[in-house]
Amino acid sequence: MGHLACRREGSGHVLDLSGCRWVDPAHLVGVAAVAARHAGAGTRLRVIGPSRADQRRYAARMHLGRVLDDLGVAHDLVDVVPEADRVLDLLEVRRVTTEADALALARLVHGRTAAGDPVAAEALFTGVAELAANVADHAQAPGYVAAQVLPAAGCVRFAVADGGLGLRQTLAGRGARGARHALHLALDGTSRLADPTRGVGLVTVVHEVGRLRGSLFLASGTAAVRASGSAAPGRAVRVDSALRSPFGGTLVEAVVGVRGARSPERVP
Amino acid sequence: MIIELPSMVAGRGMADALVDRLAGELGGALVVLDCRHLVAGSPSFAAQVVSRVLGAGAAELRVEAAPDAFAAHLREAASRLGDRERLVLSEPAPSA
Repeated sequence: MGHLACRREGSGHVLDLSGCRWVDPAHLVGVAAVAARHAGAGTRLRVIGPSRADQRRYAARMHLGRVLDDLGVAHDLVDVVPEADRVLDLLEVRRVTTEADALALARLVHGRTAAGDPVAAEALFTGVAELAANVADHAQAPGYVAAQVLPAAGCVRFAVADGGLGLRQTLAGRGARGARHALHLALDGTSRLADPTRGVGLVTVVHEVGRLRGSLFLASGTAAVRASGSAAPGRAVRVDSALRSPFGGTLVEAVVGVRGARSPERVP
Repeated sequence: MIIELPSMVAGRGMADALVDRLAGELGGALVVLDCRHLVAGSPSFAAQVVSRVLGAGAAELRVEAAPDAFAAHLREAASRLGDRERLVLSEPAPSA
């Protein structure tokens, strides 16, 4: 997460991934969300890609450069990658602004995983649909989604981020006393809206992730928490941490165990 | 009144659109949620259907052939509303 911090450069800012030893979907959607935030505010941002060749190639494969181009953000990533190298890239970085976007991306991920593990595919559908829909409903900013198959670990990792209001501000009217408290309120099922049927999405995703031997990382502002370890509702173990560099918005990354986690066939 | 669900449903907006399409008064009505084609449904979608239909005073929301996970989302939403009695789940979907 530290690599998502920006430093000033003249009249603009730089987001520097050059020291990043490992890039995953959370980094990619985090960079996209930060870039969208700058683009929305009309402030100049330049993104420096990872120095390591394999990580640089991965960021390019996941079309981060293309997303930054669309936002008008300067960068040094190339985007010429043979499609044959992309078989494990379940979902390259995609923008989400509406519930319809969320559903389309959830369908895509489900379609690419259902043949190998229908149970995990259903959990991934719920995860992507709910987390992406939260962006559309609450963030007041565009969000980004990405997903990756990790065959060696037998899992799928997916991430959703936005550069919007952040959980502390979103839940201020529901009693959030600070960044960390806001994260726990959200994980307990507290929504911005008082409707008792609200707030089920994140709670269900944490439950599904626990059921499939996974974990969920949630970060917003200066706080982060990882929930893992139990399939029983409300029994997940939570570990808090503090972010040295605040994330202005909300970032969620989840890891889900997938049977076989074989390479998905590409869908045109 | 019948709401026929497609293979994948998610989001409160989609639930609103399907409920809004129903012709007639929901108050006192029997509303059937036909899940025969459903493969995956999100908890927010389930919550919104339950909230809209039961909140409008329907006599019963009868759910047919729902996959287990979606049925659990519906039950959870009805419980949160304190209204499990008017949600009736029948005929579980045959396992694949």
